[in-house]
Amino acid sequence: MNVYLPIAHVSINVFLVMGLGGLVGFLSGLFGVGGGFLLTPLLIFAGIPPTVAAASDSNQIVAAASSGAYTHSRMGNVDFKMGIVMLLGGIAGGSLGVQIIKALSALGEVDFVIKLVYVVILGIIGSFMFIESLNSLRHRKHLREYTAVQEPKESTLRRLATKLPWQMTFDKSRMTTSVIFPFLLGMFVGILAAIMGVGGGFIMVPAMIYVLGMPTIVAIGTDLFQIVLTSINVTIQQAIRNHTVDLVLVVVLFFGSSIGAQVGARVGKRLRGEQLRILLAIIVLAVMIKMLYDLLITPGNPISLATGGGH
Amino acid sequence: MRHAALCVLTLFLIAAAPRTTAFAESPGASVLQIAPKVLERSLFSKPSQTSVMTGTCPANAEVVIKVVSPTRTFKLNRSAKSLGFVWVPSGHAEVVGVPVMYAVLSSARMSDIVSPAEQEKIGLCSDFRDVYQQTNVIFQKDPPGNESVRLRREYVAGLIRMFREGGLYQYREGAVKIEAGAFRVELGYPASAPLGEYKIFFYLVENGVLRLVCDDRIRVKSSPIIDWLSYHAHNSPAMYGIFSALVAVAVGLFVGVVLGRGAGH
Repeated sequence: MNVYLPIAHVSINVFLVMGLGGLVGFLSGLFGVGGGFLLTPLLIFAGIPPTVAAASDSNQIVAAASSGAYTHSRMGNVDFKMGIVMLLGGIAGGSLGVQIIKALSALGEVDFVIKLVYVVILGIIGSFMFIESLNSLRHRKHLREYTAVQEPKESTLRRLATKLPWQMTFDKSRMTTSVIFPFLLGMFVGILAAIMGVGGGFIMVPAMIYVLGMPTIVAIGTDLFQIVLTSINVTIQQAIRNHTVDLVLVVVLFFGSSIGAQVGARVGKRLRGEQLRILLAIIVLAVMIKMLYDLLITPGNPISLATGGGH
Repeated sequence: MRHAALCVLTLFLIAAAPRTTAFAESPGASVLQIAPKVLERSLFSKPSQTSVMTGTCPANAEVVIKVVSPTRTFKLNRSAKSLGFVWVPSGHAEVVGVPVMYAVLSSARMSDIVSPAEQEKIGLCSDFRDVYQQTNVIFQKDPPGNESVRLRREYVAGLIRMFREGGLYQYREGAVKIEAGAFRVELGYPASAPLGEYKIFFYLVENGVLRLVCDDRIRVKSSPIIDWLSYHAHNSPAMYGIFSALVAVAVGLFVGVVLGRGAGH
């Protein structure tokens, strides 16, 4: 059974789209990280134009993050004050990112830039995760001793943040820092969200834990809260500026991802953390290699559609 | 009275009989029938929708059918190697007035029934050279004079190649089947074929002479829900964006409440 995507102008097997959503949802539930950074490239491989894939993925993230944020807010894991500061940064970054996409679209470079940003970001994150989890597997015993006393160390950036103006106390996160710091973090992730169609949790959560020094569970809840609102902004901006949000694609994807996330969360409980991380690192690197390969091999047709194919 | 009623009934039946039959009964006459004449693209329609063209033709005649879609404008990139290893867009152009779908269907090898000159004149060449002549290429940056013609051709050829790979450009010799004075051919319209009215030209080749018998139209339209989504995505994008976000939040909260846990992000 096929579904016609009215914005992408593509007819695609509904089970393939649901399967991709399900696969990413499964990985999301399994690893406890986003999925946006995997879903956009997978959609591109499936034949969805990159601009539509990125914009629709942002909208899909709104649905997925709303679901998670609701649960975390009920459990008291959301620092709304911190979330709003990051949100303001995210809105500024997201709006800037959409303008970047628009400018690149006018130059005909957008698809190339999306692929290049993916290769760089996935390459960095995949390599880092792979090395870190490989070391963890090698030194599990040593790691256990480390995690038993796990308390994020105060980073140089964190010390710097305490000296910046506009200090603010965040009770839920049990910290005082300059609002400039989370604002800039939110802005950086907002730009990535617009260009890559990702929520940015894979950057934001570690940054909140290790750079800002927030408790892990509050970082995850707050991240989800700000992702909902940042992704809403990106979705609306993409719809206004680029007309590339495909609502039909979003609904089918989310149907698959919500089921996949539940299955993934259950399976994840049976696996060890290092095993999960190394598996995720391999997947991330595999996607990166495929995208890099596409950039390096001689294209079958040197002529390609500049705007991603809609007509 | 009974006789008069019978006469009226006979006249009514004659008048109501399909026109094709009347044409078919007169020797040498040819007709083209298209079914369906309107293809509606819905959310769950097949990747390729089919229209069947049938009709009659004289004995020993060959049939050629040409289908041309509405034209569109495409922005294209031309990739070239940069830094010695990575393929990046090196040139950009807009191809204006290119038919998105173009099909040539015949009952025999084209070279056996139509001369090359006539193929070119009517737009029946296998390399779709007709398209090169009717499209306009606007370069983002004007190339040097001697490069212009080559690049113009390269952009259009690249676009045609994409269309061929997507099933939009079809050149099918022998696709039209003729049996006992009746012909039949099926044509698939891919999901990426544009909406609008397509022109269909029906040619007959008799004794080596090609003549246009008739031309007709087929319309590809979308269902109301697709129309609604496409219209608002392009004409009221702010409302469409807010609506998309609200749908996503509603679906996410619903799943969060029902399943009692987040779906991740």
